[in-house]
Amino acid sequence: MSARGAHPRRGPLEEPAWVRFALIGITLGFLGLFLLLPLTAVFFEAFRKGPIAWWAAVTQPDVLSAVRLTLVVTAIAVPLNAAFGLVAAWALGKFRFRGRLVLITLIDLPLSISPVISGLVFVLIFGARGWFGPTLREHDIKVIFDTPGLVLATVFVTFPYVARELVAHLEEQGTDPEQAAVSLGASGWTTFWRVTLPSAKWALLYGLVLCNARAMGEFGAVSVVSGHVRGETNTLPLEVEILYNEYDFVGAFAAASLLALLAIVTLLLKTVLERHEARIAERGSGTRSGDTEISR
Amino acid sequence: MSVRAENITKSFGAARALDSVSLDVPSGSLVALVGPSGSGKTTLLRILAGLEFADPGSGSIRLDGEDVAALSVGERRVGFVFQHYALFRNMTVFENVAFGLRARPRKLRPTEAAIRARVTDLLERVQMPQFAERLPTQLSGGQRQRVALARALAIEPRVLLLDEPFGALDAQVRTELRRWLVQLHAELHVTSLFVTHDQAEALEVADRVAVMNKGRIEQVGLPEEIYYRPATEFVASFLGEANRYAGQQSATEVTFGPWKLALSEDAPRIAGRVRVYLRPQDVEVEHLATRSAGAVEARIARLHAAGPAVRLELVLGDGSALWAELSQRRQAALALREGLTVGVYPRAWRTYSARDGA
Repeated sequence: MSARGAHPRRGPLEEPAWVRFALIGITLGFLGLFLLLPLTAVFFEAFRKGPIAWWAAVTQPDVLSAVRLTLVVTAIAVPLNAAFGLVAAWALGKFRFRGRLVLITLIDLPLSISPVISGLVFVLIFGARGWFGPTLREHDIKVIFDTPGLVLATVFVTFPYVARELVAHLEEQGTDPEQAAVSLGASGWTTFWRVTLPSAKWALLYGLVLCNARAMGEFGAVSVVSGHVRGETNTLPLEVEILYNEYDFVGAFAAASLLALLAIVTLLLKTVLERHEARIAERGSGTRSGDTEISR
Repeated sequence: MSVRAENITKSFGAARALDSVSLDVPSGSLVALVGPSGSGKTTLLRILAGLEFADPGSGSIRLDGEDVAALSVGERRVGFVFQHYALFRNMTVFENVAFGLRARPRKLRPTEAAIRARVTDLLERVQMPQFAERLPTQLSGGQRQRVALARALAIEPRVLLLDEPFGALDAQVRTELRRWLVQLHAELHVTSLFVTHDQAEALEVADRVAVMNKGRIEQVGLPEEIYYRPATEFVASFLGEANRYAGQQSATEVTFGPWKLALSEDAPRIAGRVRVYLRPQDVEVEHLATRSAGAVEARIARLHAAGPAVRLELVLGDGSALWAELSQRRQAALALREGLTVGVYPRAWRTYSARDGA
C-alpha cells in the first residue's frame, strides 16, 4: 500500500480532483449565472428605492388585483388539472388499449405548442367572432377577455404536468398491488384511495408543484385571452410587463418579486411536506422494537 | 374446499394460451402446476383467481361445486400470492395483513379487537410478529413473501393460489421457504395450488403435480408417478435430464445406442421407431471383469465427485457420450477414476413412439 502512495486512493466511480472541481465549478457557475443572478437582480431592482417604495408598489390597487386574479386562476386551474391528471394517468397507466400511445403524445401537446398559439385557439373558439361567440353572447356569458378565458388558457397550458408525472409513476409501479387489493375483496374505490393514491403521492405532489408554478407564471397564452384591462383581467405576469413598458421599473420588479416569492413559497411547502413525511416514516420504523414488546 | 376447472380455453389474439384445460384440486391438497415459461400455467392460475377470464363459452370453474364464473375476484374469496409479493408499500406489515379485513363492507367487518387478534395470530404463524410495524421496504425478499402469504390467509380464503411464490428468491431462502410452506400447509390444510417452473420444487413440495406444456396439461399425478412414469415424452424430458436415443422397438425387444434389450412386462407396447429416455441414475456401471451379460464397454472421460451423487461422463465404443450417476456409497465400493474402462447397461428406460412428435 505505502509503496503505491503516489496515487491517492479513490473509489471506482470517483474522478480525479481536477475533474470533480471542474464539474462542481461548472454546475455552480451555471446555476449562479442563470438562476441566482436573475433572482437576485429581481429583488435588487425591486428594493432599489427602499422597502417603503417596494411596499407602495405592491400595494397599488392594480397590482393587488393582479395578485388576486392570479391566485384565483391558479386555485381553479391546479385542482382541475390534478383531477384530470389522476383520471388520465389511471386510464393510461393501468389499461392497455388501442390509441393509448397517441393519447400519451397528445397529453404532452401543450408543452410543445407555443403558448401564444394556445391562447389564439381559445380566442378562435370562444371569441366574439369565434365558433361559440354568438351563442355565448346571447346567454350573456363572457369567456375571452375575462376570468373564464384566463382559466381555460391556464388549464390548457398546465395540464400535462400532473398527468405525465403520474403516468410515469403508475407505469413503473405496475398493477400488482391493485390486483392484490381486489383479490383481498377491496372495492375499486377502496383500492384507489388506500393503495393507488398513497403510492402515487410523491409523483402527484411533484406534478402539482410544477403545475402550480407554471399556472402562476404563465404569460403567453394568458396574454392573448386577457385583453389587458388593468385591475380587472391582468394577471401578475401581465401586470409586470405593463409596468415595465411604462418605465415603472420599481413597480415592475416589485410585482416580479411577488411572483418569485410565490414560487419560493411553493417550493418550501413541498420541502416541508417531504420532510414531514420522511419523519413519519422514520418514526414508524423507530418504534418497532417497543411495539413488539406490547404485541407479544 | 375443492377447485375444479373444466375445459378452460384462453386465447390472446390468435395465440392459444390454454387449450381446453381441465384440472382438479382436491380439498385440502397442495398441488403444483409446473411447466416451462409460456406453457400457460400462470394464465390458468389467474383465471381460477378471477384476475383474468377464460374465452366466453369455454368451460367452467367450480369452487366446492359452486360455479364461480360470474363472481369477481373479490367475491371468489381466494388468496393470491404474487411472485413479486405486491405488498402495499405505504402500509406497515400489520396493515398489509389487516387490509383484507378492513376492506370488508361495514356489516361484515370484524371489530378492531378481532382484527388485531387475527393479524397478530397470522404474523405468529408466518414467524414475523416482531416485524409488525415495519414497512415492506425494510424486509428481505423471504420476509416479504411471508407477509404476502399472511395477507392472503387473513381473508380465510377458500383456496390459496400462489404464482411462482419463490421465484424471486435466492436458492437458500427458496429451499427454506419451500419446507416452511409444506409445514404451514400441513397445519392449515387450506387447499393450495402453486405455479412453478422448477420441477424439483414441484416434486418436493406438492402432494400432486400437474405438468403443463403449450397450453395443455400433459400429466397429473403423485410426484413419484410423474417422476418414474412420465406419461409423455415432454414430461420425461422436462423432469430431470436424460440420455436420449432414437431406437427401434419390436414386440419383444428394443434397440437403442449400443444395446439390444428385452422388454419388461409393463413396457409400453409400441412397435417401430421410438425415442428412448435413459436417466443417468438408471445407468448401471460395473467393473469390466465382473460385468453382466448386456453391458457394453465405456471409458470414463470425466468424473465429478463433488455433490450428493457422483456423475460420470462416459464415452462409448462408437464415440457417443453417455451420462451416468451413482451414489457416493457405490463409488466407494467401485473406486472408479477417470480414464478407466467400465461396463455399462441401462437398468430402466422410457420409450415413446417417435411418430407422436414432441
